[in-house]
Amino acid sequence: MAQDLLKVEHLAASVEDAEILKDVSLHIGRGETHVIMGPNGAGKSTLAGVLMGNPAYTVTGGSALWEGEDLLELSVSERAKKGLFLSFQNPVEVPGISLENFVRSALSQKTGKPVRVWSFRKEVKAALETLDMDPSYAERDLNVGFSGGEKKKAEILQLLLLKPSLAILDETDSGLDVDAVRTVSKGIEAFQADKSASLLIITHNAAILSALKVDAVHILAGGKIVAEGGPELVDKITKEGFAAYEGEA
Amino acid sequence: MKENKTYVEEGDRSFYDFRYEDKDSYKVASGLTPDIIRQISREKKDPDWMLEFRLRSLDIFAKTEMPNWGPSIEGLNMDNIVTYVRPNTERMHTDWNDVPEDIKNTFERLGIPQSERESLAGVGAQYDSELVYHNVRKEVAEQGVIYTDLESALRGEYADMIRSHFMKLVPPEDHKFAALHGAVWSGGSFVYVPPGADVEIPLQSYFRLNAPGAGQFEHTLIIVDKGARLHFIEGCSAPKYNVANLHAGCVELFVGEDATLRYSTIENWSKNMYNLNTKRAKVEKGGKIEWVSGSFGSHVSYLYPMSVLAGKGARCEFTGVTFAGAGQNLDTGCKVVHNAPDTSSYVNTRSISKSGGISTFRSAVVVSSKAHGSKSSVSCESLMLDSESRSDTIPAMDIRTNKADVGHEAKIGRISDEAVFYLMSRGLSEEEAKALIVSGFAENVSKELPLEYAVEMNNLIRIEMKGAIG
Amino acid sequence: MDLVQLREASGKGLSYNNVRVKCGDKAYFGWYRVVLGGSESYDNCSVTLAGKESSFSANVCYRLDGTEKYDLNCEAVHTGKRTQSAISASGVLADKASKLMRGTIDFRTGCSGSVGNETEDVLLLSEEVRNQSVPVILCSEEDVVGNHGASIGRPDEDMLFYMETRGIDEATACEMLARAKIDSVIRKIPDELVQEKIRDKIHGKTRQKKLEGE
Repeated sequence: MAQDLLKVEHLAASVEDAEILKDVSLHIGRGETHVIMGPNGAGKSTLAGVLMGNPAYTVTGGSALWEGEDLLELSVSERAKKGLFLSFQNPVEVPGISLENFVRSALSQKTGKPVRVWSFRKEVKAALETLDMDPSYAERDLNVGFSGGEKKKAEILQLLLLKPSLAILDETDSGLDVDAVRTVSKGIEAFQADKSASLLIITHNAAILSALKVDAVHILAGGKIVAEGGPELVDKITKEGFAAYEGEA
Repeated sequence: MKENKTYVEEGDRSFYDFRYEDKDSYKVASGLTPDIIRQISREKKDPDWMLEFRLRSLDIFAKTEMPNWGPSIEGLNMDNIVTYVRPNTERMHTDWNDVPEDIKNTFERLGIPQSERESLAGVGAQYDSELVYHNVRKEVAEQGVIYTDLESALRGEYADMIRSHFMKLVPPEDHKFAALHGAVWSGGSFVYVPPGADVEIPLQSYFRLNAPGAGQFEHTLIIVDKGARLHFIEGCSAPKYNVANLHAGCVELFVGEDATLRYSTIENWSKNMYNLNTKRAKVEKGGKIEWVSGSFGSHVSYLYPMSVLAGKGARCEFTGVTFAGAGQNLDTGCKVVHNAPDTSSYVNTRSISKSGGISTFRSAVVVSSKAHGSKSSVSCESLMLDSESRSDTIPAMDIRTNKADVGHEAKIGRISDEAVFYLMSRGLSEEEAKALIVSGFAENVSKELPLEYAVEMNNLIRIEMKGAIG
Repeated sequence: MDLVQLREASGKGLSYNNVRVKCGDKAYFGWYRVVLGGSESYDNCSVTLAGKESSFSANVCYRLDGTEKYDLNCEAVHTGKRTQSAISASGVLADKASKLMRGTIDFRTGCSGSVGNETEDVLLLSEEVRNQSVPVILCSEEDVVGNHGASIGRPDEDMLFYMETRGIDEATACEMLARAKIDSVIRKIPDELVQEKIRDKIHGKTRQKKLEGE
């Protein structure tokens, strides 16, 4: 029985002809929160995209196992149904489909059963409150006309409602003002309340992590993991930046 | 508030309207009979297969109906068109100095020798159905590039290649004027670019029509082999006559795998020409055809360059501008057939209508079921300069697979009063302001042309726009 | 006035529908046409905007499956001054359905100050569909503004990927987007009761298709 939920070994990937990920290894267990930090261009978003199965990326080496099974063989929607979730940095607009209907469809796809409307509505309402979002968002077309902050919150809303086993948050804090960061952090905390929920938080700025429990921190530079440690590494980066690691790229 | 209408009159075209007395020219009796075709064939020393081809085309011509759509071509009476006129030079010339004086002067006034001195690879100058002057620069010849007149090439080492390509893209059965062309074609260029050759300097060809009632039926055949690259420029001008003039030329472009061909044209036929030209390109895997087209002249024009994207990843880009002034009915457009996966087409045209001119944009994008992963985007903008003119946009899209993305947009409007006011507030006269705006509107084409052509094009616009404020 | 016409999803009939309207000064005509199926449908809607400041808006949506066919000709003829037209058609083609749309905005001399807009978007859900579009603008008046745009093809790849990351597989995602497209037009119908009725019919069609599929 595999203890790790996600086991990534020496993963390498490229986009078009450029090799972005060179050698990434990562083990995430159930209930663990990992953080990936690194300078711009290090390959953090690429890693998120590769794990989720974005067709823009090509895996050129290494492996990724989900509960012992080959993750890279699965289609994108299969990965989502297994419990993987990706919160996008810049989510696409989906006109004509309301937020509520969208999540409800996703849930019924995952469980294979229709979702009970009333109890779901209550859940949506509660989640909206946690994120300081107006109830009207449930009925608005998904992401259409949403500001950057609203889009990020909508992603976290989906996180809370879909309850994945592992949520990858790709720079959820970028472009948000201080209040928004706090709200989003609250949402992530609520997610963490489930002890079996795992998180992979990608960020290059520590503000969002202040209230969260963090189990491991990895520094990604030049497509490789160049350092690993505990939450103290976050403080070190906040004080010293990434200069020490850039040479290792 | 109704703004003051500018009185605009026909610009001064006299720079282009000069001609020479027609002397010693050999004329074929007007009207078309098989005997006339045989006469033409004999004069040209055609191989047998070509004579048969001409006769078969004449037959098709007689049996095909005139097109029943598009601008009226009632002013064209085939019996009055003299199809073949040969200027009084016996042979082809390779040295500019040997070309007869009056013929030379025509080109001199139009600036051809200057361009020749400046970085052009070679000039093929057509004067009344016969190529007079041909000069292929050494560098280009060294790359293995063949640029010669089509007629003599029929008898040379490339004869077989020509035979297997000639009128395969535009067969005589295609339409009445393709059939006419097949029967009486005369003159034109043959270009072959061998694999991998990158021809940096553009090749150009210049047509000229001098005799009254003469028709131009030149045929251009260009084959760009694998991985090669060529820019070919076709530019033309003709003097004004009272008798109808017909241009039913044909351009066939074969773009090989991974090759690129840019075909640029400025058409400035005089205002009594019937321009019924047919241009077609076939693009193989990974190849690309770029059309750059400025249509300014002719009385009536039917012009729809067509690209067949036959190989995977083939691409087509079409950039065009059409200016229809008084007495002109220019029906132009573009046709693209996507017949292979991952092909893409991008069409960007502008049109301007003034003084009762009629400009019609007609296009067709056909995406067959084999063309998955293909994309097409057509954009057409029209500027109306007054309410006597017409501008019609008739695009058609026929899509037979869901695995393709096709987009189209079109806009029509007039010159913005604010823009004119703004330019005038900076010191330009109303006329200059409008000319500048229209030049800017036509920039999609002018920026794709080599400088001297862009200059000629902007001159043409200025001539067309010029008027007195009254 | 507004005219709402619905063709339901049933059967093998041939439907021929001809709407001709002439607008007087400041008149408005709104045409809402929903075609949910039927083996062959032919529509013609010609509106002449003769009166000053009259306007016309056409909102068409259709969903064709099987070997259903739809042939639509919609034209706005502007003769009066400061008239406006807006033609919009959104649709979904699946299986081996085919559709031909001719949309014409015709600006006649004298209709100065007029504006005409035409848009079309078509979602193609399967390989064997056939879509033909001919959006035409005819113009002999200088002082007008005319626009048309057409967008035809599969759903946006980014959108599909996003939906997939939420566990919604491609086929379901396409259906959801198809339904959203039809709904975007139904939402514009100025009578909520009518909107509800039409939505019921759509659910009926989906249920029926499910039954047929089992």
